[in-house]
Amino acid sequence: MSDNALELLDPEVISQQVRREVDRALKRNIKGLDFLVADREPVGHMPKDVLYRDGTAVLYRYRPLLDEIYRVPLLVVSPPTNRGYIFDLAKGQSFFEYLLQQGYDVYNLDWNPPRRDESVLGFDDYVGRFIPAARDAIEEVTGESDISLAGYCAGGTLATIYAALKPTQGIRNLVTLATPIDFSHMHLFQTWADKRYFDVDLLVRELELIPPEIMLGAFDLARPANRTAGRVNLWTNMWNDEFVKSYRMFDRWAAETLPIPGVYFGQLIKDLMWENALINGKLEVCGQTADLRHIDAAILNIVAKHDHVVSHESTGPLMTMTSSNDRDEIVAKGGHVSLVAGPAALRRLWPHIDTWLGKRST
Amino acid sequence: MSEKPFNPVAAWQDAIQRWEHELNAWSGQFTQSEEFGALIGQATKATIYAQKAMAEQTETVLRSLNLPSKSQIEEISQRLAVIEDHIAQIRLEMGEGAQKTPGAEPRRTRKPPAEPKADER
Repeated sequence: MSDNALELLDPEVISQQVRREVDRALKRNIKGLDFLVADREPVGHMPKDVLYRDGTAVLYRYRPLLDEIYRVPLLVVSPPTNRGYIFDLAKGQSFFEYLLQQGYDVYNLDWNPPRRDESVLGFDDYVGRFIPAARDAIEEVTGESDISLAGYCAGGTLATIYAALKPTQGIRNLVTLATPIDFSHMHLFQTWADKRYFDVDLLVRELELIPPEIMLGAFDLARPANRTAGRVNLWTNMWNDEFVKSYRMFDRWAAETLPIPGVYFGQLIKDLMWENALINGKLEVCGQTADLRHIDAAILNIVAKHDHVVSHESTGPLMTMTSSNDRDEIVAKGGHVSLVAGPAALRRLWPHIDTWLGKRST
Repeated sequence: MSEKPFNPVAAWQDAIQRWEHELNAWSGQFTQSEEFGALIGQATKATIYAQKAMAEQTETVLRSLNLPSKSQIEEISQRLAVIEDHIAQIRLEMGEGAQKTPGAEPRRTRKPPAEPKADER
């Protein structure tokens, strides 16, 4: 009989395992009850001020932590479907906390749930009105006309479209995180919004504001086991306070997905998903054509290796179709959200972003 | 080669992970098929029509009971949101946003830390 088999039969080892499992089972039950009655997990802990507000759009400035900061401010555009607190989930898991500690002047263009009268907002507003207004507000505070522009997911797409409208514009750096550009590679959404069957006009006309369930349904169908497996993992780890806290923060973020204006949704489907207009040079915003060749800023394209929402290929044109001669790419381990939140990003990804951006922010 | 002692919790988690991967992989294939596109297109359309019919019915019932309907509450909520927006705008214009005094601003002269030379790495 092997040593290992003998160890398995050792009454002391068995008793230790039983004690540990009984202890965890008790904790699971006690903490499980706490979990059911607990309030929402608090999120967003770094102090910030509102600098600009226009309906759904709100610009925050995160208060700098150091007396000496980089000259070029950093504007991060949130995706219109999601709350920006994903960048500042909790102490030690916050992208913005990390950036502030490294000496960046961080701004976030975030979104409130749009009102019904804002259902007419489209690219002209998101790209042609809100981003320029945010830049003006930043310039007023800092006196700096140069900027580093960053965006996550659809926020990165909006930032890229803005950068593609005219050459230069004072954009020193463009940092894109899980940002779709070539929508022919957005496979899940391509089949979900199949032109032959998907009546986008009906949706926009009848709903005006597109509720998050419409899009979340597609994610759930693509990954039907995730929710159940997540709950099972939660129960298994209910004794672990850190795991539960992290689960609740992410769960809150996912549950607080925002509705989006119908006109913006229609443009997303027709112009980007069906026509791939950003790639074909046919996307018109505020009477100007968004042309990727206009982008001459330094580019850092960050993609997640196991991202089931935004594939590596869909971000590719940032590295091939832009005019920039300073382009870098990071393929990080993990999934879509793990780029902007969680302890793994803090250890593995954000230091690389700092090294890249720091020397380009003076 | 030493084997790890059997851990029933780890085995349970492994099994859940395998089930998750297998089901997701199967569903991933289905959601890329044309049938999925057709199905989801029809289902979305049907849901919209059903919701619309239900909303109209409910609105009629509420009106007959002399109760406010969803659209009336939404209208009030929208007016409140506009008022809130205007208050926020006025507060910002009164300087209650971020500090705008140059003296309170940190110096914008930071340089990145020097990269270690190749032989220091």
